[in-house]
Order: sequence, then structure tokens, then C-alpha cells
Amino acid sequence: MAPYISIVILVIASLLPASVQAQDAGARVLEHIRAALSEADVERLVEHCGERIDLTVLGTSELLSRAQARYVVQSFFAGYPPVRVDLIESSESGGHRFASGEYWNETVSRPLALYVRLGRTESGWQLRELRIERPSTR
Amino acid sequence: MADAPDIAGHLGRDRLVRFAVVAGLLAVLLPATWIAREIHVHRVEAEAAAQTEEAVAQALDQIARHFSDLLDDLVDRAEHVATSQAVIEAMRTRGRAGARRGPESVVRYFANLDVPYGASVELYDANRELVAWNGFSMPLDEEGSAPSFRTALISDGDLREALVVWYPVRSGSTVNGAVRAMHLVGYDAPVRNEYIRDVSLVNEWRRLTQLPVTLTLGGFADAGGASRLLRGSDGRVLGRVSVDPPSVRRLAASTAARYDHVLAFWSVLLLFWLMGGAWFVYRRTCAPKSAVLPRDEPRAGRLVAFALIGTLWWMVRFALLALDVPGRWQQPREPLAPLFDPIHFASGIGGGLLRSSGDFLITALFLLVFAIAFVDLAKPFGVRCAERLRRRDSLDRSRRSSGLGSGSLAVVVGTFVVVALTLVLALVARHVVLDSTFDFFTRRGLVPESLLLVVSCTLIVATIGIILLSVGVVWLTAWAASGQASLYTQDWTVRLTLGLSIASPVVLFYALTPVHELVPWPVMLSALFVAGGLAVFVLVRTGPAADLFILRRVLPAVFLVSVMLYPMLFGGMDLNRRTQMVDAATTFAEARDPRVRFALEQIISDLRADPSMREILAAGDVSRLDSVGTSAFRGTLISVLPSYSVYLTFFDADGRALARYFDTGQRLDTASVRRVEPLAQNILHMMYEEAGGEDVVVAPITGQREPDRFQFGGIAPVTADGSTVGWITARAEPQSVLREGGAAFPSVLLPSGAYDDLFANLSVAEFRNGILVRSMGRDFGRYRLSEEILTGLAAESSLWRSEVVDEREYRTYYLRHAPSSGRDVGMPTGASGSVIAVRAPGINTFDHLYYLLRLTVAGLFIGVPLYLFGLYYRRREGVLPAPRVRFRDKVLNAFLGVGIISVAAVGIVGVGVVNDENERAVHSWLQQHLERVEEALALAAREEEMPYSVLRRTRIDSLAASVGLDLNVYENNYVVDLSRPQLVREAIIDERLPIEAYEALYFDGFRFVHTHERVGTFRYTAGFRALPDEQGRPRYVVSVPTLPEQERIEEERARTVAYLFGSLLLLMLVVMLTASLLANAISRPIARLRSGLKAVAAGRFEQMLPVDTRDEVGELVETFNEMQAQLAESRRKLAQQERQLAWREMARQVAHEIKNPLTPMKLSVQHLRRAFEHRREDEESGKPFSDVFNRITSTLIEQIDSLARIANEFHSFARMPSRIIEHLDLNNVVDEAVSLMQEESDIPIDVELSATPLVVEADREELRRNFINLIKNALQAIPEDAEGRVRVRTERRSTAAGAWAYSAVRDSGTGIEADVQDRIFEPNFSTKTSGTGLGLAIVKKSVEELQGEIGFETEEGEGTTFWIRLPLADER
Repeated sequence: MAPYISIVILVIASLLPASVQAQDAGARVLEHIRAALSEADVERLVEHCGERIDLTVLGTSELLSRAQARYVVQSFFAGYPPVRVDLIESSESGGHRFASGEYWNETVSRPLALYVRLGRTESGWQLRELRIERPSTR
Repeated sequence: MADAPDIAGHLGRDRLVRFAVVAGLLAVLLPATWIAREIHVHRVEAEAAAQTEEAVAQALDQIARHFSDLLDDLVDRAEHVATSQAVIEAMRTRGRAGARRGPESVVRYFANLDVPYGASVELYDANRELVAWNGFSMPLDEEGSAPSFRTALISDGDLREALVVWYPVRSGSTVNGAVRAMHLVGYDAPVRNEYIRDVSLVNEWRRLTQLPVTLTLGGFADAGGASRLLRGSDGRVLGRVSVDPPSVRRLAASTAARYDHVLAFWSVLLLFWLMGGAWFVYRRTCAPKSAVLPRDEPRAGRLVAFALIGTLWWMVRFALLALDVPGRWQQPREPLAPLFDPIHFASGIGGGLLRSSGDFLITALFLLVFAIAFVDLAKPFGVRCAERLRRRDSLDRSRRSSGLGSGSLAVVVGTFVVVALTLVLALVARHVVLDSTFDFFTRRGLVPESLLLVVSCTLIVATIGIILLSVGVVWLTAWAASGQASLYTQDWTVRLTLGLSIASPVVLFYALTPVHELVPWPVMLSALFVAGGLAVFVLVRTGPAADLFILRRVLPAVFLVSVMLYPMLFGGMDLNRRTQMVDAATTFAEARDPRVRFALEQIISDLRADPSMREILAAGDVSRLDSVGTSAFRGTLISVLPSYSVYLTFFDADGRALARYFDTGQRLDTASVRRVEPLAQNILHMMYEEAGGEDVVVAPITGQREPDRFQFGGIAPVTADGSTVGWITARAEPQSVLREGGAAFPSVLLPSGAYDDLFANLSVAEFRNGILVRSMGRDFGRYRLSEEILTGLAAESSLWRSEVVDEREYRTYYLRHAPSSGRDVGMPTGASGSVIAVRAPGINTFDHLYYLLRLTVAGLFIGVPLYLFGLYYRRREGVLPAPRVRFRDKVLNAFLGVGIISVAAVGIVGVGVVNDENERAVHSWLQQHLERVEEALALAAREEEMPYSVLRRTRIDSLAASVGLDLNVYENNYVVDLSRPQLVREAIIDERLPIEAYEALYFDGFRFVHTHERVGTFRYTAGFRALPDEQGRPRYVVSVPTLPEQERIEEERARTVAYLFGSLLLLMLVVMLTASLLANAISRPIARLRSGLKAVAAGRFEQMLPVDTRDEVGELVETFNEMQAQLAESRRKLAQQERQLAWREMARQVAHEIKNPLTPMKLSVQHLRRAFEHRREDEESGKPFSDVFNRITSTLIEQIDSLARIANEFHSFARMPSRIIEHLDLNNVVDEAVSLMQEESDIPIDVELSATPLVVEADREELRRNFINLIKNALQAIPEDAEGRVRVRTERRSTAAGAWAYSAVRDSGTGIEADVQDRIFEPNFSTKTSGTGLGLAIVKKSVEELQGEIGFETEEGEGTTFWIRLPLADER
């Protein structure tokens, strides 16, 4: 019975509008990114990166290559090992998908603010921007 | 390879024991530390509460110490100022006179104080009135009493916090005032970029303790749990610092981490100790002990040993990476920490070898050491190869038959390896550019900033390493190929094959792979040339190795390496820039200008924070909205984005629109705006709801005018007492019409990240129907696209063009962008959509020269230490001071010195002039603009009205707009109005007049002054102009900062400096080239003269020196030639006389020799006659006559034979035989002579004949006789009881005079004594007891008649070599 269900689901999925499928793909990538962040899995995270990524880590913001971003995030994970990562808000606009959330870790008492932006490319969604910042005290 | 016992003996047992002891000790320390770690971690886990308490206490202690140090410094600064005589005297005078302002001296004293950024010092009088200051301002704390010593932590709302020390100014027992010293300890920067950063004492303490820290200002009775009260120097409580206790897991982890650092240290020591041991064994057992490879050593074994030691070396490197050493020991605040921070540089290539700047440096040093060891291994192979090429004698019979195949294969493989090494270097250089945030191609100064300098030096070290490896590969290749006999022939097919063997790997690489994008082919050829040239240079050069480190070699080497490296770096930069331009075009096409998003957020946040806004919206007071709504855009980033149309809409709490304001100043009143959809139906509100109620939501949205256009919208509620009193929405959409005007927005006020990196140095524009519709940046001066571009874009989706506009070069990227509407936008051949153009300034020759100079300057940081090391090394080796200095070197050194000094002088003076001119231009620019401001005020003045009075009733933003500048207005030293109010509101600039301006305008009476200011680390200039009142005192001060213009000013200055230094590099190159040519031109005739003198000294007069200069040196050469001709004539006459003397001597000798046998002959004949006369008596006495007859006639015959022999000898010496001259191979003649002589002697005769025929013109018999003579002499020179050898060899030699067939006969005899060496070729001279002494004289005569030369070298006890050189027939 199970194979038939799968086939039915596949047929229905194929009939869905392309934009819906793209949205789902974007959500899946966001979930992958969330999981990669919560598990401090750099390799999994950079899988979704484009050639360059706008990376902001604790006030330092740079447009980095994927290789550089890998080490920067790895270094961040070493200093701020994640306890939990939540993506609270998510929206899509134009060719971009945005998400914000919280990055919980042991070294700071309040969660760090997290912002993710994906960009749609021909090959799928790519991580274009990642911001991890201390919540503003102002 | 020796066996194990041999190694032990070879290395020394003591050494082995010492090595084992240290290794064992380190090996024991490792588990011991690990056990201690486990015990400690276990104890931490077991005693969690106590450990946590201890950790918190330690952290609090650290914080308290740090705070105390900070406070002490501040107290010292305050005390220093408060107790200075100038301040005490000024305050005493002020107290007595009761004047409102302090005396001039104290203002000057404060103006001259050296106050660091983030610090401030103020002087107050007894009434707490400010007298003088230097640094930022803060509100006064709430202390109303008389000035006394106290400390405080104060804040100005929620923006900044400062630590404050008040120190009273006393005059005796009277307190006349107080000094307030402040140190900024907290600043939440509104934007963060490379210039502006947050200041946070709490964050510093977090880094210090690695624990979460909280600071609460105010007085507290007690600290409580994990907290401590921070007390000032006066004992009062300033605040409370709390530390979040670490979890047990974290505590255990940090404990383990400390031990891990120690474990890593022991591991590194052990690794290097073992590596050192392995190296020692390698050097002792495998490495070559001499510069020349011994014939019988196992070559393959040596290469294998090196491969093993090399593998070990790189294993150590990867072990360091695995241990994260030394990066793990760098705490964030330590000086070397940036080296290991991947935010600056981190590349994935090489498995982590380049994961940070520091790791790259270590990898490069590992590479350099490896390369040096490889060169050490390969050099003997190169030397052997050179020897083979020189002697062409190493081929045994079997190898002579081998062909070109394996030799060519070796060349192919060698070339392939060198090409691969160059590609690796290029790949690394490219990734250093692509995977870093360094700006290699900035124009900020000649010396790169520290981290970039380190990376540049590292790249140069890596380049040196790769060059050395390439040189080693060339030597090994040459050695492998030189074993092939065919390679020695001069056949053009061999040369062609070798050329093809070198070219084919290069051609294949470039034909089959896209390496040309990585390394341009000229660079690759240069790399091959450098490797080959250096390999040859090292082998052919003479002189000590220390001479490699002289300035004339180090400087060109640094330059050469930089030249080789620069194209590779530039390739990366160019790719980076092209990627940036494509990204910018895509981003701009989507209208996602990041500045818009930021600007909207800024406007909405500002409005929400405005207390009046809450009141207005709560009251629904639309009339009051006007003042807020119309001024909301003033001074914001949006006001400088002319390509966007922006408007704000205000809603009441029920979501009904109240008013709408446009950035153009237009306004929709309530009646009109009510037609606008209510908030509930507004998409922005829906987004806000969806977002879940953030403070401010700004997001891309669908446009109204054009649904396909990407726009930005923002929304935020305005709350009062927790309830929403209204809403603000903002929308920014691209305009279809351009607007111009407005002051540029300073990029120092923009957040770092996308804008800075993506749009830096770029100008972007959008064209529709070929017409410009929006743009960013200044470089698009045209409003219409050319037909050529439109036509090009019809065929291609994008185009790259190099363009020249107003004599400036640009590179432009055109992107055809198709919006979803698919509307025709003017493409001539059916293409649709707009065109996005991105333009970047082109890189011209001077830019290249400047960048190259920067790289060379970085290289000097390696070159200069190398040179200094060379100085030390040369002195140690006794080479310095040099016993002899070549004239050419002297000339070169002089030119080099003059060149360097003049370039440095021109550079220093030039930069000084440029800076002065720049300063003067800025000064003049500011003054002119401030005059324009005053003129504008004067024009608007009523009769008898002073400009300051006009200023009072003039809106600052309209005044600023009219002059196109930012303006600040000061009154009573404080800013009262400014065109960008957020600068003061967010404490980006200080609200107080700089003390230097105060001094100049109020005390010196100047109308204008300019001062140097800074925002964070960004430096700019500000001009101040006093607007005096009727009494002549400055009533207002108007200020113009160069903040928005500073980058342009810096760019212009940097461009001028860059071109100056580019020109200087060119000048330096010209000087060096000229010096080299001139030194050669001067020294070449002198060198010729020297060789000519040496030739004359050696008795060779035939060669006249060419005269190719018309100067004094040429005259000297002419004189020398004349002198040589005279000497030759004298010599000829002398020789003639000598010959006559010799002939006379010979005649005397002939007479003597002939007379010698004649006397015994005469006596014999007389005796025979007497015997004949007395034959009867003798026969009777038993002596028959026949006996006597026979004896005497025998004697006579002997004497006659002797006479005949003497006659023959002299005849053969004296006669002019009729030679049969023919072309013959000297090798054959020598071979025949040797064969003949070998049959007569048991002494072995070795023959080493030239591989190529040596054709000479001579008489075969005569030539053979000559060699027989020489070989016979050589055999006779070897003592009978000695075991000697005779070696005969022939070879082709070339000299300035032509090519020669050189032959030599060497014996291992006793040599020729010094006192008879001059007479060795004289007739009748011999060191032997037998012979006539004519042999060598005959040989000499014969050789000279064949236009050849003969000579000898001898060493007593070692043997003698007689050599003959005859002109080659085909060279005549």
C-alpha cells in the first residue's frame, strides 16, 4: 500500500504550482540551516552557501567567500557552542526568503539574534546572508 | 644506507642517549598531563558548587583588577592636569577676578593636551562652569556640592556610559575648581563598520573572563550572590557587576581546555624533537657531504630518504593543524590573535594549510624549509650535470648508444613539475585574494597595513619556496637528461627535441585546461625562465655563497619575486572585481539597494523614538504632524538617494490614515489621504502581523506603480505606556526620473557589510529604452546608452567594455535585465528589458606600478633581514670587508645608492608636498564654502542686520541645501543646530566645539580655523567660521565638516601619491637599468684592458683590443694597443736575438758534442797506429794485434755512431722539413701515439677523448711524434718505484680568440723544480741524464709553426701537465 501512497503524493506534488514547490524547498533549506546551526555543523551549513555570503557575526560584518565563511562560522561555533536554535519568523519576498530567530548558547545569558536570508537561484535556494548579533541594549 | 649498528656508531652513542632521554621525557609528560587533566576535570565535576564559586570569584577578581587599573589611570590623568601649574594659576586668577571665562593660557594648555580617543578632560570652576576641555562631552552628574575628589559612572541616557573622576584644583587650602577626567566605557554605536565600533566594558570583561557579565550602574548596599560592587577611588559604590556562574559542563570544558593547551605544547615539542632527530639521521647518513655527487653513491636511495624526511616534515605541519597550534594559544585580545582570525583570511584549499593568515605564514615557512632542503639535495645533481656537460666524459660505452627518448622524457616531466608548482602558487595567490577581506589594491599608503603586510610577506616567502623547488627540479631534470649521449651533439634535431620537450607540457596545459585564467602564459614562461636561469646562475657563479646576500642581489631578487607574484594576485583581484560588478548589477537590477532598507529603518526608528510623535499620534493632532513629517527626511540617508521616491504615512491607533509626507516636501492632507487604504488592508500591516510584532519591519514589497518592480516598505507601531497610539509606514520605490542634488552621504555612517563591500568604488545605473532612469555613484555622466552597446546587448545578455570618459579609464559591465512584463525597452533587435550598467575605475599603468611597489615594499620586509643576515654571515666568513672590489660593482653600488637616496628623497618630499597641497586645498575649500554661507546670510540680511542675526531665523537644512554642504551651528561652544541632527543625537560627533577651534576663534581672534576630527577611526577635517556680534565677539560658529567629502579627498590624495610612487618605481627601474648598462659600458673596456695586460704578462701579444669608446678609456685602450705593438716588436727582436744566441749556443754545443767523440777517436787511431807498429812484439808477448784492432775499431765505430746520432738530432732540430699538411682528427693521432707508447710501458695510460672530432690542420707524423715525445717524457717522469699513471685527454675549448683543439698529457710524477721551469723548452736542456735535451724544444717549435701553443703546469710532488692547443680547422 505504501508505494501507492508515495506515488499519489508524488503525482499531487508534481501538480502543485512551481511557486509552492519553491516555497517548500526554501522552507526545507531554512530548516537545514537551522539544524546545521543548532548542531554546529559547519559543513552542512556551507552546503547551502553561494560563492559569497554576507556574514555578520557579533558586530563584524563582511562579504565573505564560502571557504572563508566556513572557518568564520566554525570559529564562532567554537566560542559560542549552540544549545538551541529557533527560527521564529519567516517570510518570502521576490526572489528572497527571510527568517529571523534566536541562537541560544552558554556563553551569553540572552540568546543571540539570528537573521537568515536565502536567495533563489537556478539551482535552488542559497544562503546569501547570515547575521548573528547580540540583542541591542538600546 | 648503513645498517642500524653502523648508524648508532656513526651518530654517536652519547647523542642517541641524549635524544632518547629528551624524547622519553616528553613522551612521559604527555600522559602525565593527561592524567592530571582527567583528575582535575573529575574534581571540578565532583566539587561543582565550590568550583563554580571559585570560578565566579576569580572572574570577579579579574574584573575588579581591570576596573581598578582603569580607574587608577583616570585618577592619574585627572591629578596630572589638576596639579599642573598652568591650571592652578589660571583657576586662582579666575577665582580672584571673578571672570566668566578662564584665562587664555589654560585654554591653550588644554588645547595642547594629548588626550586619547575615548577619553576626555574638562576643567570646571568652583561654580561648575566649564572653563576648558579636550575630548568628548557628557552631562554633569547630579552632585551639587563644591568640587571634591570623587568618582562616578555616568550615562547620557541609553547611548553612552563613562567612568568619571573629579579632581579638585587647589590653591593652598582653597578649592578653585575641579578637573573632570572621563573614559568612555560604553557606546552602543548606531552603525558598525570599519571605523565605528561599539565600546563596551562589559564585553571586554566577557572576553577577559569568558563568562556572561552584567553591569548595573548606581549605588547598591550589597553585592549579592555572584556579584561584586564596583567602588570608586573615593570608596563610593559606582555600580554592581554580576557574573553568570558557569555550568559544570562548561567549567569542566574550560578546565580541560587549559590542560589541552599544555598537552598541545608538549606534543609540539615532541614532534619537533623527533623531526630534529630524523633530520639529524638523514643528514648524517643520506645527505650528500660534498658539493659534487660521488660517483658511487646510491642516488635513488638518497631521493627515497628525502621523500621520507619530506613526508615526515609535512606530517608535522598537518599535526600542528590538527592540534590548532599556535592559534589555540591566541586569546582574542592578544597581539597575534588577528593572525589566526578567519574573518581576515581563510581558504579551504590544502586541507587547512591556509585556514588563517597565521597558518598560511607557518605553511609558507614549512614550504621554505622544505624547499631549502630540496635544493640542498638537488644541487650535487646539478653540479654533476654541469660537470658532465663540461667534460662530456661520463658516458660508458653502453650508454653512448642510447637515444633521446629518456632524456626528453625527463625534460618533459621536469617541465611539467615546474609548471605545476607555478600553478599551485597562482592558485594560492588567487585564493588569498578571493578568500580574504584584505584590500590588496588599496591606495592607502605605501606600506600595507600590518596584517596585509604579513600576508604579502607570506606570499613572497611562498613564492621563494616555489622558485627554490623549481630550481631543484631543474637540476634533477638536467641531471637525468644529461646521461644521454645524444644530448651532447650539436645537431639541430636534438635542440628541437629539447625545445619541444620543454614547450609541450606548457602548450598542453594551456590548450587542454583553463589555466590561462589562473596564470597568463607570459607569467608561466617567466617562471620557467627564472627557474632555469637561477639553476644555471647558481652553478656557474663563482665566489662565496654569502655573496648571494649582497644588496645588489637581494633588491633585484625581491623585485623579481614581486613581479612574478603580482600578475597572479592581480588575476584574483580582477576576478573579485568582476564578480563584485556582476553581483552589484544583479542586486541593483532587483532594486535591492541595501541603503534603502537601512534608511527606512533609520527613519521609522527615529520617529518612533521621538516623544512628541507619541503625543501627536495619541492626540491625533494632524497639524503638529506637519513639522515632524516634513523634517523626517532631513539629514537621513534617504535624502541622498535621488533615484528613490520615499513617503511616510501616519495612522492613528484605529488604522486610519492621518497624513502622508513625501521626501520631495509634498504632502497629502487628511482628506486626500483618507482615500488611501486603511491600515488593516495595507500589505505592510499584514506583513507586520505575519512577522509577529517586531519593533520595526522593513521588507521588500511589491511596487504600486509597477507591480514587477522590487521595492521596500517599512512599518512600526508607536506605543505609549505599553499601548499602540498609532502607526508609521514608509515606502521607497525607484523613480523613473532622476533627481540630482544634495550632499553626499558619508559612508562612514553606513553599516559595514553589503554596501561597503558590494558597491564600494562602483557606479551603477539603469537604462530603459536606452535612457538613464536611475543611478548610484558619480561615474555615469551620460543619460543615453550608445547604439553600439544596445546592439551588443541584443546579441549577448551581458557585455564587458573598457571605456574612456573624460580621459579616465573605466571598465563597465552591461547586463540586459528583463522584467517580467517583458516590455520592449528600446533594444534594436527585439531584446527586451532594461540595461543595468556597472562601472568601475580602470587600472592604468601607474596603478599597476604603485601596486607593484607596495608588493615590493612588503618584500623588503623579507629582503632587508636577509641582507642583514648576509652582512653578519659575510663578516663571519671573512668575506667582509672584501679584499677586492670590482670596478663594475663599485659603479653599480654608487648608482644604486644614488638611486635609492634620490627616490627616497623625492618620495618623502613628494608625499610631504602632496599632503601639504591637499591640506591647503581642503583648507581653502572649507574657507570658500564657509564664506559662501556667510554671503548667503548677508544676502538674506535686512538693512543693518548682522549675518548671525539672519542665521537665527534661517532653517539650517535649507541653508545647507543652498550651499550643498552639511552645516553645524554652535552657540556658546555647543551645537545648537545642524543639518544632520542624528550625528549629535547618536553621539557620532560631539556636540561641543573642539578646543582648538575655541582657542583660535575666541582667543586668537581668527575668523576661520580648521581642525582635524575623527569619528571612530575615520579622520576628517572640519572648518569653523565665527559669526561675530556687534561687539566683535563670536556669536555663532558655523562649521562645515568634510565628513561626506573626506573619502573623495582621500581618494584624490591617494591617487596622486599612488601615481607619484608609481613614477618613482619607474624611475628606480630606469636608474637600475641605466646603472647596469653604464657600469657595463665603463667596466667592459677596463676588463678588456685587464685581460689584455694579463695576456701581455703571459707573453701573448697577438690580440689587439677593440676600441669602441671615444672617451678617455678608449684613448687608454689605443695607448695600450700601441704599447702592446711596441712590446711585441721588442719581443720579436728579443726573440730573434735569443734565437741567434740559441743557434750560437747550439753551434757551440755541436762543436762541443762533436769534439767530445773526436778526442777518443784520435786517441784510438793513434793507439791503433802504435799497436800496428809494435804488432810483432805484442804478438810475441801474447797480445795479438787483432784483439787491439777489434777493440779500437769498435770504439771508433761507437764514437762514429755517436757522432751520427748527434748529427741526426741536430739535423732534425734544425731542418725545415717538408710537411704534408692535412685535415686530421687530433683524437685519432693521440689515440695512435698512446697505443704505441702503451706497448712500450707497463705504466697505465688513461685516455679521455673528446666526444666530438677535433679537426686540425697538421702533419700527421709530426703531430704523432710530438705526442710520443710528450707521453715518453711523462712516462719517464714517474719514478721507477712509484705506482703512477699518465692521463691523456682532448677536448674542444673556446676562448675570445676562437675555438681550439686542446690536448693535455698529465703524469703523476715528481713535477718540475721551480728553478728550471723557465728553461724547459730550451734546446739542450734536460732534467734527465739521457737524451739530447732537444725533444721539448722540437715539440714547441713544431706546435708554434702550426699556429698553436704549448705550455705546462706543474706541482712538485704531484706531477706535470703539458698541454697543447691547436686551432680548429673549421674555425679558421
